[in-house]
This record gives sequence, C-alpha cells and structure tokens, in this order.
Amino acid sequence: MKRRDFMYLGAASGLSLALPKIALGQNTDTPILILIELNGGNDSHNTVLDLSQLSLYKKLRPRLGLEADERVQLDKNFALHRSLKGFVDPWQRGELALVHGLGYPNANKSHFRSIEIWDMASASDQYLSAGWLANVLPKLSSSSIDAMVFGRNSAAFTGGNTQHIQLKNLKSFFKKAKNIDAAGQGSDNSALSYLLALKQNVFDGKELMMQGLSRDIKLKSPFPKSALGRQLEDVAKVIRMQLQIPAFKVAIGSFDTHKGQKNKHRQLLQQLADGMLALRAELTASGHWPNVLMMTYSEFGRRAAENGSGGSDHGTAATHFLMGGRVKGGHYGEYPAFDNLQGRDVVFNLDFRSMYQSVVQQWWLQPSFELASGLESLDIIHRP
Amino acid sequence: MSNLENVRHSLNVCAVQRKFSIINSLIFASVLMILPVNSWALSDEQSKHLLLRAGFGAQPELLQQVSKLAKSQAVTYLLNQQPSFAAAPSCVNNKLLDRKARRKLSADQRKAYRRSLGKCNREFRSWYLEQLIADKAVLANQMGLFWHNHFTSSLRKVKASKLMYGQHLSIEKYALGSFGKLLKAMVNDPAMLVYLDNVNNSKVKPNENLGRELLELFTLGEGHYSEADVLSAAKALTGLRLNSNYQSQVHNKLHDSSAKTIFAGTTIRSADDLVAALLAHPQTSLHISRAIWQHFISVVDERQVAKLAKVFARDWDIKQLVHSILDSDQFWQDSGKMIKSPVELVVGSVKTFQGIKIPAKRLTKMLSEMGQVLFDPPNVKGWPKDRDWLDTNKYIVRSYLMDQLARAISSNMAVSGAPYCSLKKMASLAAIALPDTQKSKQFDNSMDGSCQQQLTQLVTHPIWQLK
Repeated sequence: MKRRDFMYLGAASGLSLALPKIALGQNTDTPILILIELNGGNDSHNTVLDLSQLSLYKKLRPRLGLEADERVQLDKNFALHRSLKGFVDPWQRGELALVHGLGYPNANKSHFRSIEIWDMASASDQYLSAGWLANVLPKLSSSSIDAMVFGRNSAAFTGGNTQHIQLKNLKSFFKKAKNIDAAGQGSDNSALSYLLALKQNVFDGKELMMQGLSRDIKLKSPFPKSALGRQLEDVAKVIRMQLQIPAFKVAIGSFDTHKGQKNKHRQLLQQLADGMLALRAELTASGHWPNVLMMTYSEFGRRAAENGSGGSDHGTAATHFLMGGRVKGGHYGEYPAFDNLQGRDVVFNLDFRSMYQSVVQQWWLQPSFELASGLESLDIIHRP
Repeated sequence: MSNLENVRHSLNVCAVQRKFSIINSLIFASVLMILPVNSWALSDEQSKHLLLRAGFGAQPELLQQVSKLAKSQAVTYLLNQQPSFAAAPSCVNNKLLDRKARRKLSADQRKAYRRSLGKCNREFRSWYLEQLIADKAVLANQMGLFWHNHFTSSLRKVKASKLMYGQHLSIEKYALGSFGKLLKAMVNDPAMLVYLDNVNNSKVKPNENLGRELLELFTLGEGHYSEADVLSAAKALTGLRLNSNYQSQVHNKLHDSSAKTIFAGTTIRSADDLVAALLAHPQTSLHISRAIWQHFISVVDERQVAKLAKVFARDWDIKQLVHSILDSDQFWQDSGKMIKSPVELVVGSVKTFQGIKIPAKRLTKMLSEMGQVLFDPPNVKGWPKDRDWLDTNKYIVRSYLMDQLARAISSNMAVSGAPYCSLKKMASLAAIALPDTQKSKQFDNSMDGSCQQQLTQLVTHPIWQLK
C-alpha cells in the first residue's frame, strides 16, 4: 500500500484538527471539474437538435421526434429539448459549450464496454487499467483526497495514484464512517491490502470532511430533491468548504430508453437541468463559479431512427455539455449528418478524448497532458 | 516500528504452528503410507479454503466431513450434496392477470393486485435467503447463485415471482447439469423473455436486447461477434413470447422464419437453431469456463481455461468442469485472495455461527444496503465480482453492517453456549490470520466474558471479508 507521505504526516501530527489552508483569493484555488455521467446512453438526438436537418430527423423519428413545442431555440440552427430551457441563460452569457459529434472509431455498443472506453479514454480495441484522471489529479492539489464520487462508477479515477472516495451522500458517510480508524499496517495479501487501502481512504476522507464541516456551510440556493439534485447539493457544500479537491463526479440515469422514451427522457433532462442550474446559482452567489467546470458524458448516443417500442436503441456519436464560469461558450465539433449513416448509426466527428485532453490542458494548465497522439485541440477555456 | 514487530511476531508464531503441523502431517503421512487415502487428506487450512470458496464458510460439520478426504474426493463430496429446498411460498403459484384482465379491474383492484405481487416478491426473496442459510448443499447453492448472476433477470422488471420462480427451478435443475440444456431453458424462459424485452421482439421491428446480451454476456463474450450477428440472433428470436398462461411460445405471425446468416456462414431460422449455433461456437465454452473459473479463483490462467473449455465443449457437463477447477493447483494456491459477496458475507456468517436467529427481513435489508438483493442484480451484467464489490462507499456500508451483525451474533451466542471461544477456534474460521497483533493481544482464552469481544473483533475485521 503505497500512499503519499504527507497523509501520514497529517494523520500523525494531529494536523487534522487544524483548519485547511484557505487560499486568499479564488484565483489560487485549484480549478474544479465536475463530471456528470448520463448513465445508460443518452439520446443526444433528442437532447440537442440540428434544425438544418429537421426534415430528415422527422423522417427517422416520426413518433419520437420533438415537435416545435417540445423544443427551445438556442440560436439560428440549434434547439434544445424543452426540459433544458434553463440552459438558454448560461448559453447567452457564454457559459455553455456544446461539443457535437463526440465518439470514437469502431463504436462499441455494449453499455459496460463502452463506458469503460470513455472512463479509461482508450481506443475501442485497447484495454487500459487506469482511468483517464487516475494520474493527473495528485499534481493539482495537496489535498489528501483528489476526487469525490457521489453514486455509481468511479472508474475514471481508479488504477493510478489518485486517491478518491466514493459515497452515497455526506450524511450517511458521516454516520457510517464515524468509527472507521486509520488502516495501520499493510499486508502481503493483495485482497487484504486492497481493503486496507479503501479503509485508509475512508479515514482520510472523513478527516478532511471534518475540517470542512467545522466551517459551518449554509447553502444559499435551493437544490432539487432528485437524486442528482441531492448529489450536486453535497458537491456544492464540499466546494464551499474549500478543501482543494480538484474533481467530483455525479451520475444520473437510466438513459437506456429502449421503450416509452418520451416521458422518461423528459424527466431525466429536467432533473439534469435543474441540478446543474442550482449548482451554478449556488456557486455564483458564493463566488466559486469562475473556478468550476461541469462536463457531461455518456457511454454512447442512440440510433438515428426510433425503434418499434417508442424508444431508441444503442447508438454512437453524441453532443455533450460543458458549463462553467470560464467556459468559452459556443459550438464545437460538428453535428453528425443524418444523411450519412453507417449501418443504422450516425458517424462521429470528434474523438471524445479531444474534449478530455483539452479540458485537462486548459482547465488545469497541464499543456503536456496527452491521451493519444494527434488529437484535435479545442480552445474551450478562458484563462483566469 | 513496534507495530511491525508485532506483526512479525505473530507471523513467527504462525510459522511455528505451521511447522509443527507440517511435521505432524509428515509423521502422519509416513505412518499412513500403507493407507494412501488418508495420506492426502486435507489440512485444516485446505478444508477451510475449500469451504470458503465452494461453500459459504468454514461450517464445523462440513469441516469435519471434508477434512477426512483427499482434495478431489472432498470436491466430489461437495458436488454430490443434493439441495433440499422447502416449498416456495404459495403465492408464487397464484394466477397472473394479463393486460386484458388487468384492464377490467377498477383502480383500487389494480392497486391491490400490484400490492399482492410486491408482497409475494418479498416473501419469495426471504424464502430463498432462508433456504441458502438452511440448506446443506453449499456448492449446489453457490452454483445456483452463479447462474442467477450469469443468466440475469430481475424481479424489479419481471415483477412476478411466479416467473422468477420458474427460472429459479430451471437454474436449480441444471446448476450442476448440462450447460446446453440450461442455455436452451434460459433462452425460452418466461422471466428472461420479459427481462430482456423479447416479448417486444417481432418480425416487423426486431428488438435486439435478448439477442445482444445472449452473445455479449451469456455465451460468446464481448468482442467475438459482429453487429450483423446481433441482428441475425434477434431475428431468430422474433415472435418468441408469452401466451396468456405466461408460458413461452413462438407466435408464428410475429416470427421471422427466413434464413439468417450468423458467424459468417451458419444459417439459422429459429431460436433452437440459434442455441445450436452458439453451442457450436468455440468461444462459448471458453467464456463459460472462464466465468466459472473466476467465480472460484482470483486470477485467470488462460491456458488452463482453454484446456478445460475444450473438454467442456464435448458434453457441457458443468459438474465435471467445476470439479476440474476446484481440483486445480491454482485453486489450492489461492486461499484468502478473494473478497466475499454480500450473500457470502451475511449467509456465511449466520451459517458458520450456528444457531443464530436473525430475521430474514433484517438480513435482506443488510444485503440490499451492501448491493445484493436476491433475484435483483443491478443490471444485465449481474452483480459485481470479487474486488468490484467494494469501493469506499461499500466499504463503509460493510463496516457499519458487520458491526451490527457481530452484535447480533455475539448476543445470540451468549445463549447458545459459545463454542468458538478460543483463539484457535476463531482463527479456523477466517480466511487468513488476524494481522493486527496489537489488537489480538486482547484475545484472551481464559476469560469467558471476552469471547463476545473476540467474535466481534473477528467479524468486524477486514479479514472476515476475505475468502
């Protein structure tokens, strides 16, 4: 069990009782990335619409396609699902980027394999053991915990030297982790040392959160009561504790809408918008917003055409959102063409790793960070 | 440093004990050269390892049985135990109302009907849990759970215990029987047809869900088929639905009986053809052999798996395959290197400390918090495996619940006479020795009062989660 030295120092010397080093100005704080996993494969064609392809879209989706009153216009060529109408404001303020046509060559349509590809930032036929953020985070901050995952799937952070904790919510974390102490000695037994490493992370996370709690944070904005809303409420609290944790992840689902999609998708997108906008409001009021970036992702998009049961099947390329105080708002990549299907799927235009890599390079100022050679760079972040 | 010395000290103690037992068994072996059966008898450590993996823990009565046997015999002994399940709750036989019948109900009646289904599901889950705790055929039950996790279906989606019970009976029947027959039963299984949407799969609009998962998860494994194969499989399955009695049946009008090509050259028309094509594909035996191997052994040995797969493909004898895996050197060298599933943790604890009475409802709640609700895997890929059971969140939940379980067990044990109150007895229950010597100093053989404390310490220690 190899861990970073200062953690032991912290635990041994009773630093846990001291307040964290609070940076003097917002600018010196570690920039924060919040990953939002749209679990199940979001139907991107019904999330962001390319109005220049409207007639083809309607032909492919006679029942599922969004009517005029089910969408909200963003600009001349694009509209959003009506559930996302709250995104118009950040869009107009230049705080929202739409990254179109994201995917990868030889798309895999298994939920499990494809999310693994996104989490590991691998090629379709490449099997990696470390998540795309597994090694970059420790460089960014001196916090004993580099990432917090609320809810499912922490694969993006595992397999490297990133220390992360995964939890359901803060309340149950405190209740149940109360009696967990430091892990102590490691073990020759690999399974046991795995358990002990988890134990140590829980202990570190608990100590860190205790420091934060001592600052008595009261949120200024109401958060929605959905699962995602609650997760983002906790994220907001931890961000306001100023513990210098560079990354968070939340998840919402299931977007695997094979049947009866319309209603389900409307609800999910509403929860997504409400949650993201509540976080934006809270962190704008607290002054943290310029230092926060939200990014959505999902294992795949869905088929161009609707299926026979009022839903859509597993597909390929999709549009994703970046929202934050320093995002360069606008369109990136190209919306896939409905008249150029491969098999029954749209063709991706932009490697998802371009988005990842650009974010790490520009948001965390790591210009040498590279996920694969020859990836297109998106100029997507304003410098502080 | 003193901590380290303590660990070393305890390791030395163990080594001395081990040396002693090695000498012992050497003497034993040389004396018994004339009686070759006993000379290969399992050591205490080996017996424990076998029962932790092939069963649910080192239950005293089973330890006694297997410790008399050689490895292969011990495995055979466990394989031959027949499950003796008590009758399922009677509600699983209640007639289900189809959509037409449901439409005739008033809103209140419909609500009552839904409630009765939910109530039956809870009874059905408790029944299974109680069977797992009571039944002596531990390996058959392990394999039953394995297949429920392989051919996944979930009560949440299927909704009716009647259908899940039907699937459970098929799984129980073939758990150690023929994989070919099991596969055919699962492709035609009513719960499966509902779970993977084949009831919506028709000639006009094929639904690929069952076809895809058949290839990806149930037989070949990801990466060994094309999208065209998925479509052909889906087409072969069109029209395979439920009749009004909720039995599976091919509806000819909805079935696409045309010739379809799968795996670049095999022609199939029906679901039966598809099953035959899947069994003829070399990846199937490999995928299944690997999955069962991983159920019992922490690290895959691809060469061994390939060998076993070759034999397996001849007659699809699951019992023989499990025997070969449990009889392998890799199995016997793997003790303590896997992590228990919640069912293994909870059912195993209750089975090991006999005479413990904890209501099934409470145990079910624990299992649910740890992420394993019986008949309800989280998705089609099934429950996590080995280390994937744990992240920091699940670690916290387990710690918290094992505290509760330990308290429930130790308060029960005060009554039942505490047969485990010695350091040696306790040590014989966990996969590996307690590494934390500072704490194990608190172990005190002489004091009866500390027995509960010892047990609590054992059950709440991370080593209790190892197998």
